Amino acid sequence: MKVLIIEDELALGKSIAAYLQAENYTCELAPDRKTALEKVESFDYDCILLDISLPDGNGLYVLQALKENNKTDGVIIISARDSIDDRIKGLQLGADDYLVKPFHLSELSARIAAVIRRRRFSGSNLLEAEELTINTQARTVLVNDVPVELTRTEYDLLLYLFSNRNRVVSKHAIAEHLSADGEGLFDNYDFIYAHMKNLRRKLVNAGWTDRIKAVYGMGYKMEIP
Amino acid sequence: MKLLSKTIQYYFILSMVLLLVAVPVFYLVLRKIVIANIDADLVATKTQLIPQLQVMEIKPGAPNPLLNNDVTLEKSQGRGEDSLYTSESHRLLSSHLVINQETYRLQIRSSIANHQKLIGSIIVLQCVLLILLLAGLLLVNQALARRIWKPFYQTLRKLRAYKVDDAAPLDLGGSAVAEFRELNTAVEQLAERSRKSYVAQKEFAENASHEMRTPLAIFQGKLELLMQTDPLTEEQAELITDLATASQRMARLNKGLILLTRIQNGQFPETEEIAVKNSAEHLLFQYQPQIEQKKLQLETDWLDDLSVQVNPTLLEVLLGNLLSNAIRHNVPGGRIVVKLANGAFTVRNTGQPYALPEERIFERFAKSSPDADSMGLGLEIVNKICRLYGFTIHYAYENQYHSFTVQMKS
Repeated sequence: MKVLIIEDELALGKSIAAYLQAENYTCELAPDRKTALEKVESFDYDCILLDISLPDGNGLYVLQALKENNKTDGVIIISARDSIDDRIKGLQLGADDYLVKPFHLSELSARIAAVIRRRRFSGSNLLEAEELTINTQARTVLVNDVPVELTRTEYDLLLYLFSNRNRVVSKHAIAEHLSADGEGLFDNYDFIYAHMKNLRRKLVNAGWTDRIKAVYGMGYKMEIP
Repeated sequence: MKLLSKTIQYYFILSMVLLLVAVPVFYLVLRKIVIANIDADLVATKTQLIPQLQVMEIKPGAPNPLLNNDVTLEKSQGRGEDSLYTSESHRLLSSHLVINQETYRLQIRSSIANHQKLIGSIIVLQCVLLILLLAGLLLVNQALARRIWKPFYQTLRKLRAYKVDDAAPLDLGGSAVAEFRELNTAVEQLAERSRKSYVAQKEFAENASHEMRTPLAIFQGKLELLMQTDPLTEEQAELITDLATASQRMARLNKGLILLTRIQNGQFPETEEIAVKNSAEHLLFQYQPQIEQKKLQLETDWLDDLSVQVNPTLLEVLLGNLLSNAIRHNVPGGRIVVKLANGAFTVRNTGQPYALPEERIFERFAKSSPDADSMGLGLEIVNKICRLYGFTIHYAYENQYHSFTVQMKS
């Protein structure tokens, strides 16, 4: 899977690349629009992360170029600006998602996974790991082919952990992901424990080997070999 | 006291003093003149009479054609100077003269009662005239002052309506009066200066908030990478968690600041009719985990089916901030009462056992509790949204309850 990171802040671009490497993504970095356009024209990417404020001009231009060349790369805009106008403009030009800085890498990773899933027309909507199967289309979870009844929050939590499997996901990132408005008005992370407990109980009861590990009150990690 | 009344007051005092002093003085002067006149007449009569009397024989008993009620002649012992005096309502001239070696006293009198009446009439007339004159003066003065001060009141009205966050600069218009023109120019300059510094400050907050986002993203990203390092001790994990919490707070603060500037910039122009109850219930549903976590008792009281024409995002922020505050600043096992009645949305909650300083809580970064998770922007945002839509917000602490009331419709 190939991901192009168009981001002029090298430190951020590198962080994203390092985080995504664990997912076996091949990441390429483009620090400006010129490089980005060259890369976009020569290669196909599964997902492009696009910072729209680039040193040599607006990144939306890259989106336009993609559209003109009839390319179907998935695009996620990552921007420091989050006015509704910017969002609408980006999405109208064909971006799949819009993520405002600062964001959690785990959130970005989950969104990339979602974009790639949506873009893969031929592929299945099934995420499989050992006895666990997640159908992202029907939003159902099977353990050993037996459906497990999960609440919306529990399903979101599971999918989030799965998208960030083998990496520690901080409780802050989980809390922000789960709070519907994303505002994160609370600094209280205790409610995650309750959801996590229920999720694990339900999966384990269905015959799943618990792969979720708490990491010192810092976050959780789903370890899938 | 108004400037107009003040000037009129001075005019009135002056007029009264003038009236009170002028009328008696005038009366006295007039009287003096009249008496002098009468005296002159009396002296003239005397000068005219004496030669006639001296050549006339005096026959006792027979009436003297020269004498009458007003002119009397009688024998007198002594002699003396002529004297003029007032007796009752008459002015008298008494003079001694010698007719046929005999001394006579001649008395001529003239009534001043008639003159007194005349003086009275003149005084009354004068009073009326004076009063009319003064009243007219006052009226003219008032009308004139009103006209002259009109630009001043206009300026005042415009100033009162002016807000420093208005997009347009203050325009007070010209005036024919140099002083007012100068005043307007000076005030306009002052307003422009404060508007500019306000805009600069706002832009600074906006730019700073936006510029902060990229480093924040880097910081947050690196922290997440740090979480992935192996081996990771518990001590390191704790440090990272604290850092992540701090960066989360920074991110939220940043979001709040940007929201504030955006409200101030009027970047939420689109509005729609929204039922407050639905919005609040939706939010309460979202906060359910937090409410349960703190074992809070929630009581809702929907007495009013209130709908307001507002921006949906802003209404959600407004209600969300109030409700989340009620949860966050509550004590475990406490109570929250949400009420919608008489066009007002009220959130009451238990919490710290003392009242918050009402005048300060709506200010930026006026932290109400030592609690680290209050960012000090929530209530300012609430206040700004209320101001945007003409809602009034009121805080009270009664019976152990902190209550915030937003009057959305009167």
